[in-house]
Amino acid sequence: MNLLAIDTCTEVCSVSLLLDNKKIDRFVEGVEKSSSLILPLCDEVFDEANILPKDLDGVLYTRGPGSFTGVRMCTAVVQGISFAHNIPTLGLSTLEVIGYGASKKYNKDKVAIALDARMGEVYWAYYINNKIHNESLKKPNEVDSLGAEYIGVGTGWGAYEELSFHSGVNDFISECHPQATNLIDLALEYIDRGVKMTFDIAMPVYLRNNVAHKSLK
Amino acid sequence: MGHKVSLTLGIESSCDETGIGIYSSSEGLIAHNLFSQVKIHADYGGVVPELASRDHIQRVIPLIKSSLSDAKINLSDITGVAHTAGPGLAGALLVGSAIAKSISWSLGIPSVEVHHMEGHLLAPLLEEDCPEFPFIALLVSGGHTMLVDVKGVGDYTILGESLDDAVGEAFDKTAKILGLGYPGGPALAELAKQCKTIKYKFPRPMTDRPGLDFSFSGLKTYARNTFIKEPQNRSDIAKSFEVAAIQTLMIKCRRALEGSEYSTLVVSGGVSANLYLRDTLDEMCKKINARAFYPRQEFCTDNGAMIAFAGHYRLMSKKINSDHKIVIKPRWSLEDLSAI
Repeated sequence: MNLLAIDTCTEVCSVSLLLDNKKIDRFVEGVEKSSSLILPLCDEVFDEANILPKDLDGVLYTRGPGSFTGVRMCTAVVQGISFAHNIPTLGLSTLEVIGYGASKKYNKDKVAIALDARMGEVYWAYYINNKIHNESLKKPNEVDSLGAEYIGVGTGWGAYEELSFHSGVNDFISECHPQATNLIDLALEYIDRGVKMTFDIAMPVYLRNNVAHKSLK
Repeated sequence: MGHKVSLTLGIESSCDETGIGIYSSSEGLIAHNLFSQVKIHADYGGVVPELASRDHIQRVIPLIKSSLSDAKINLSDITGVAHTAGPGLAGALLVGSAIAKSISWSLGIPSVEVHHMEGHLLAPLLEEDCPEFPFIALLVSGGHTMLVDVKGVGDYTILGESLDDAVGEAFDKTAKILGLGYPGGPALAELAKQCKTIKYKFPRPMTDRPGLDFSFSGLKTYARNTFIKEPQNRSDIAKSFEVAAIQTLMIKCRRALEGSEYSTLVVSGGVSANLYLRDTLDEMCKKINARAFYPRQEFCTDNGAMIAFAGHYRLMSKKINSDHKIVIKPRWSLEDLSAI
């Protein structure tokens, strides 16, 4: 099965291409504009694999949350690739991909994920035994009280010192990002459990939906 | 389809309209579809950029599907993809551009960045009775008021533009003052029709001095002050405003035509749908042995047809673009384009 995974939802940009017998990854940190990187990275991995987009069996993507523009970039690129060759897609939560990756990397069953959502808020979720819980937009003083057995990951931990106090999580790693290679592994677990990829149009999930105020006039 | 026929898919998403067009080198425009977000933004009194982007991403693919179906072709028949890369709202531009580039990358076909205003400028060329180069173009919309010397595709010199509000913006703001809601330009024109005699003499800004620049913000303020004094005379104020704004455009168009020795005027953009504008410019052109051309009504506002058409011209002239970077240019001057 040939699967392409892409992520541009935050300040990193990554692509992973799974072939029958190998995986080709690209991961770039400190990205200012994923718009100029994402398709060239895709092109690189397809060149290396010597296959074409039409040879894909599925496209996986982080559906958000993240920066609005980054989330839409990811979804828009997936829409185009999927539509061009009628390829099914599967979108998974950015928070879950981070949680899954951190759980594997740090060998922890319990992970608290907080992404800096700006405006004094975080995109929040916690991950226990391979399951994501309570994905939401929270103020730091509203997060779940979890305890010291959790490890905190994501940019929110560096941005808001009080997160540690309110969640009871003492150890955290801010520099922990979504990675397309983890997205592939996580999606494969979903697919093994019977989750089907879809031909519906890929759509973003923002979590922050209150983005405009109606005119009083 | 013959082997050499080129089919260009055009994607427009620079502001609050998602537009798709398909242009065939042998048959001309073969499909176009549009979704307007006007109702989404109406409650906010103006376009909310984030809401615009959120809507575009839901519309582009379904509109492409409808357009392919209308044209009775498959996506694999498309030979090039054109997308509005600017000017416009960054987030909105990014949606159409990212989808366009990922389709072109996936299919291994070329893509081209189209300047939104070049799209408008060339839109009258989609008509059967169309203008020939060179001409003077008046681009009038909610975002732009511009007079351009057009020697050929891509060969543009801006002769004058608005120093403050675009004329369409002044229409919308004046309409708001008169309680006509958003976007009120067309409603203002309707209200003006109720008035048969012109009660107020509004100024014709910047017509008493040489040059081709415009300024409409003072005219809007003049309308506001008149409305504060005589709020019962809404239709008179609407009419006086409309006449002043359009006479100002006409005076500058005449000046531009006479300064250029061209005899063709092309008028495009949302405000070119205004019938009083068309009558006024036609009358002026007749007096100086010139002729004005306009797009059909549905192509006055933003649309994908004009992007497919402008993209077609550029794809025909250009080497295949193998750069897969998704580029947007929210600020992009018409004069930065290269002639083809």
